[in-house]
Amino acid sequence: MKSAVTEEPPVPAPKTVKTRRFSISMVWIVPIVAVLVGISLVVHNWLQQGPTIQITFKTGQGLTANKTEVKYRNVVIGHVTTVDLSPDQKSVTATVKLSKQAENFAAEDSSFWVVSARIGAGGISGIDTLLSGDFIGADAGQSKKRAKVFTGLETPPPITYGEPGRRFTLHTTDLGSLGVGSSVSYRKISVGQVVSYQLAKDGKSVDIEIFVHAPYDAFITDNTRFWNASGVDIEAGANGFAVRTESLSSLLVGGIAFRAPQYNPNDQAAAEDKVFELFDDEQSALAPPKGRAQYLVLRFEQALRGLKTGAPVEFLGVEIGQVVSVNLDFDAATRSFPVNVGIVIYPQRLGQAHTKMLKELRHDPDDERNAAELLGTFIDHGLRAQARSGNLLTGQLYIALDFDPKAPKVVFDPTARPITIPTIPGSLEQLQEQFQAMVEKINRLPIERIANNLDANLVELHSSLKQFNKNTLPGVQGTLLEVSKTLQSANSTLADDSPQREQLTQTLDELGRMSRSLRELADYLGRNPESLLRGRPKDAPADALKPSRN
Amino acid sequence: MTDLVEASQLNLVLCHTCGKACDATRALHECDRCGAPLHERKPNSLARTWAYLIAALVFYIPANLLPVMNTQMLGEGEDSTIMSGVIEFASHGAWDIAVIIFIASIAVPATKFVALGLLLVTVQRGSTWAQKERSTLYRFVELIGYWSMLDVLVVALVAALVKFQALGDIEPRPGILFFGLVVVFTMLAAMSFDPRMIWETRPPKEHTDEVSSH
Amino acid sequence: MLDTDQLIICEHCDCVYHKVPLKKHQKALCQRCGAVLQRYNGMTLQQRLALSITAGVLWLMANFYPVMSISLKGLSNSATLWDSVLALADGPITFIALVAAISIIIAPMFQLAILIWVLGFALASKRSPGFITFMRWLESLRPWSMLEVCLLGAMVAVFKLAGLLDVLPGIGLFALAILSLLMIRIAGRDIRELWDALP
Repeated sequence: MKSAVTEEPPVPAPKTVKTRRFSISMVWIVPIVAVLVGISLVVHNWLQQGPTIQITFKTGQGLTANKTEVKYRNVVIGHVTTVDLSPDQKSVTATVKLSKQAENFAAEDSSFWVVSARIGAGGISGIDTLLSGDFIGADAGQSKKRAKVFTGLETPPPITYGEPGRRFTLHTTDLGSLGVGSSVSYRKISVGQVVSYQLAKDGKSVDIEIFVHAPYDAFITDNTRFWNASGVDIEAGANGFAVRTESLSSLLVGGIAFRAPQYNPNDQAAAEDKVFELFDDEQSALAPPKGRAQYLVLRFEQALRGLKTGAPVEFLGVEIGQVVSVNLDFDAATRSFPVNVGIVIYPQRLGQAHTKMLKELRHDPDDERNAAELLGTFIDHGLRAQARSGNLLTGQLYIALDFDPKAPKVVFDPTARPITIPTIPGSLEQLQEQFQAMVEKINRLPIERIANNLDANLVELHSSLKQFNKNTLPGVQGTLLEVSKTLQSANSTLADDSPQREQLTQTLDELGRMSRSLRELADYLGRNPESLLRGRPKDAPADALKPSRN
Repeated sequence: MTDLVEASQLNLVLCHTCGKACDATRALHECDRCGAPLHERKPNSLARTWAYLIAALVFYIPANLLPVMNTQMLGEGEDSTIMSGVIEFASHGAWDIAVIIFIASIAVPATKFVALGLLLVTVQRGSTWAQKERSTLYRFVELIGYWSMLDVLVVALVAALVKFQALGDIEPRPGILFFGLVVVFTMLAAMSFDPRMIWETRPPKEHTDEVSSH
Repeated sequence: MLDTDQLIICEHCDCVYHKVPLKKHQKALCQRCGAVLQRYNGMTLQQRLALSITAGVLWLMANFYPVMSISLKGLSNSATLWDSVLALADGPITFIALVAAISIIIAPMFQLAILIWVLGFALASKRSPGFITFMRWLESLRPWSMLEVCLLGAMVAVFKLAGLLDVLPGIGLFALAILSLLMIRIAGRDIRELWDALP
């Protein structure tokens, strides 16, 4: 392998001139293959290359040339090659090279936006960009036309990627705390969101566009009611306390909830873009459809402390309307100050009774004269209005329309407008009258004897009340303290466990009921101390009580 | 060995650029084939080699002490020197990589310093000790010279790749500059050394001049 | 006078030898210092030119395709040779970027361009324009072309990063591997034969 040559006398060796035949050597295959590989790579690259587009943004924040990627469903479909200031220096133009498969992202109605970490209505998004840097989100358009220049959105569109689902429009008087991204929930599950809102053309209402994802969009039927579920709804009305909330995010940024009424025969899925009304709260939303409103006037000869506009009007215990006005009047003839109460009732809320009645009496609901005559016959049968104490705790009154066969006959003028329904004194007033009658009867009684008895009874009552004060009331106080504690802890753990809140609502409801019955008991005991000894008489009303003869 | 003829005996001068044996009798200053300047020995070989070697030695200190690379992972920055990189690999069990980096980055420059220093000293003394081995040593130094660039290129590649903003970022640090300078200067030193001086038994000073003296 | 064209002078000890024709796998060594005087090189001009063009294509591929790409939790990044030079160019250490650029991009590029140019003419038995200058350039570029070091560096980088993240060698790395092997073959010292081949 090793051939060393020693130095020899420097004799030039004969030089052989080699004639080179010019032939193509096999070695040329090598560069040809290399060139082919190179060309194939270039061609491959060229085929992979999609359109180049330009997107203008307000700022270049988060955009880096050759670094920022364009992603669709988290798949890279292109990258930013340059970021330049626009010629008018009012915006930033990012040149984006899209890949071949993303060709339809050059459709002229495609949208692009910068995805960075942001805290928005729908929660916190884009956390990963804190680490990886911002990227451009894209949504392909449907158009067949291609464009070169796009305007980037400042905020990500709430609904992207041609997501299955349906859009609906909600009609409301004001936006409330709703905003783009506010969630739409169904049975407290978020199923969609608010995508846009705009003032109606006349400026008198707001149209809110919502998007409900498939498959939940099927739950939206023609009868579905939407209500604003923003924030905490604490209501102290004639029906007691009620606390209602939706999810935490709707607590913070507003939300819309929907549900169809319980009984809905022949309900059909709503068509896309159907317009619904947005109610203020769940109760009004789920109330039976009101139908035609009927304005009535009630004239009370008594003070109506605790009757407020909005108080419910009940017919045989069914809520059919509400108080719309409470006005003091002056009666020149009797020199008294009666109270005129304006109410609005919705006969349709009587439901089946209403439809049956209409059918039976061949009554035309649109004819007011007809309605007045109908009411006239009811009044002849003893229909009277009465202001009743609905909630002893808060002292709220409500209006009850009831048949009272014993009521004195009144003359009803069916032509008078507004239609007036005669009233009977409220329950408290009746109590006072009855108490007076009772006192008169007592006056006629052998007082001495009774007084002795009464004295003993009163002593007993005193001790009972003491006991009540000592034991029961602190208990209530303790319960209230507990409730306050529970609310505090609920506040801190409000996170997402709505079942707890639901329980809380129930508890509060029950508490309301409990305190109401406690108050009733105390009231009753105040009026009928003897019942502590004798128990409650079978016919509960106070006027049925007979003076004791012992 | 006595039958070997040196070029100077035949009045020949080697052209360093094209390898031609030029006829020195015509007192040429340039190679008649490629036009490169002709020298019997590389000019000022010893002085230049010493200068480059010392410069490289000076740079070798900051190259090893200063960090060559800064690794940021999740906001936590960490400077690493060449040696700490080797130790890191070794502690992770990657002995092969650790050895490669150690050889290329630390052993090779150090070997070059020692080898070139040895060659310079022996040549200056006109020593005849182990001439053939020293000649081999020189060729070895020339061969391994540029492999020290390995670390520079590794840092460059890694720094170019790991750019994930806050998640992870690797940046070169000034140590790599000095390291690169060490490599460049040791290469220059090896190039300016003339191995033919190994075979000269006379003190080399007369040969720093150009060939025209012959 | 001697025909100096047929003489070889050992670069390492100045000994003078006659040139000898070598057979395959043979090399001529200096008797005194053991340096290689001649190495058998079976390549014809055509082969050399073909390989040079191949290397040129590979150089393009090595430079325009990423050497490797890494990915970490969905994020990915890739780097070409030029990217890595730029990575060094930040801050006060720009000088080292220049050294790196010369050693892995510029020097090989000039070497290949000159080789293709010179060999192209040599195939027609002609000295190319600027032949002498280019041949001298080839000599001075050779020590500064460090593609094989770059290849090893890329491999070390792969190992270095493989523990932290997913590393994917790119087209550039394969091109670089073949290119550095070719460079040893075509841009070596034996290109000096051209001096003799083209009087």
